[in-house]
Amino acid sequence: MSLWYGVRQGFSNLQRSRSSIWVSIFTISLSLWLVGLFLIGAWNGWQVLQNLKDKLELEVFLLDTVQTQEAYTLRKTILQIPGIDSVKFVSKYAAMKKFEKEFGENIEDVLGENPLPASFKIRLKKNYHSKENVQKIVARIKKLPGVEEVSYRYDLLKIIEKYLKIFFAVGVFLGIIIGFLSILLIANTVRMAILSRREEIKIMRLIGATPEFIRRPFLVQGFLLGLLGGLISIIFLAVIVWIVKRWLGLQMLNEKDIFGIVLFWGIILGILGSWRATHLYLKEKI
Amino acid sequence: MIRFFNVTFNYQGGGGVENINLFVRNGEFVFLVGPSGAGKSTIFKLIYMEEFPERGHILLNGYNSQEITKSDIPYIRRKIGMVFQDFKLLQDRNVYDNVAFAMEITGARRSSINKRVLEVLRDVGLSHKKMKMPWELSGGEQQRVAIARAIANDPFIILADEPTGNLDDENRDEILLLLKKINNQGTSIIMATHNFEMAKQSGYRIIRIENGMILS
Repeated sequence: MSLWYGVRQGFSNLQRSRSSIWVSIFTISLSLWLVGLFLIGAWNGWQVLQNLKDKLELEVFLLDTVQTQEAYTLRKTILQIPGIDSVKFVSKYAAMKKFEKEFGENIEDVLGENPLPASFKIRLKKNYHSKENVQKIVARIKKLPGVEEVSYRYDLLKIIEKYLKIFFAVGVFLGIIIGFLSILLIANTVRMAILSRREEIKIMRLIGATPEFIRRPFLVQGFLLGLLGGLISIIFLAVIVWIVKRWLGLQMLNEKDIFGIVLFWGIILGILGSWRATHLYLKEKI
Repeated sequence: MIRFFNVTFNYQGGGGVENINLFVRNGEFVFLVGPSGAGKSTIFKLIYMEEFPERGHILLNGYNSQEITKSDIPYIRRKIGMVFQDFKLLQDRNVYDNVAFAMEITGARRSSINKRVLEVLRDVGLSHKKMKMPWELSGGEQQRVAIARAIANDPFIILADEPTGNLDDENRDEILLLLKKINNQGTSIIMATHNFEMAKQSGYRIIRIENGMILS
């Protein structure tokens, strides 16, 4: 009953001061949009990185003295190391064929011999991609007889990861700053609504309304401001996502989760803003 | 029952009440008479707990001003009906909603609100104007709406602060009659006024106050 009162009055608060309300909703949605863009960028970068990691292989080059039979024994030994998902043997001949396919030249014809070593291509299990784990595995493989060199491209990944983390941190930092500003903005909008109903609030207090009852319509108003701001920013975000998919062909783009986060963040900001405004006003005498 | 024990309260800019003792029994009709600025409104504010005594204390229907907490105040006020000189009606609501509002804040059910609002509007003689907006009514009618709102939650007391101050003689008598009728049903009434003659004619007990002190 009184909850319904709060909802009804919250809507009517929105209607009363239309122009200032729309300015705040627009500003909020613009801020949320910016945060959403950063999050979508960071989130998808992260996903791409994880995919790359999963596909990444260790390459173990063997000494030329290693015979095929020894290589198979070596493969079995490697497979027993924890974290190894699969080990694929590439013979000297297969390496030469691959070279020919990639560069269009038969290296044996050019040099008179095949300098390419036999190798293992090793994939790691999902949870073994951290730097420490990879280093441990590499160290163990290096000690095995017949292994000449182990190569892996984790350094590059580390750099990408580092920049993505910075990007992500900027997004979160921006989210907090913008969040803080949005709270002030919403608080200000709600304060205007409170001031325009000052007389009414005074009467409500005199006839025995609790502070919670008086606060409720303004919390609903803040909730609606945040909700509308969030929804509008999602529309803007969806447009950007659509453009990126259409023209840049990034079909894998994952945006749904971010939409949810942006909306949730908007609502939280709305409620916090109006709570702040009502708290400041109502903590005076009742 | 309302009882003041040696109550002193001063506003920062001056004014207030000094060492007041006062006793209003259940069901009593009392006039609080004095010129403006004498402290009548301060006494009301102390009763509905917008202000608290600096010294002394107040007993109010079982509550002690020294013991109550902030969260008690709304619930105490629901049992105090208030009527003001300027009516204090919500201008964006009609007569029915103004009265219903006093019950909405208590979380009462809609069906019981409807029944009670119709009852009190009948009691103040405004059943036929329940859909009118406040600005469509005369001053006397607006005050009757305010009284209907004041009695909607069955208060134990009504505080009427110069309720007839803005009204002509005819409307003044009507409001007074209405308040008497409510008093006859058992609700205590304290009516503040600067009109000593009106108070005297009524025959009720008169408390005279001047410069924040009770004279008689």
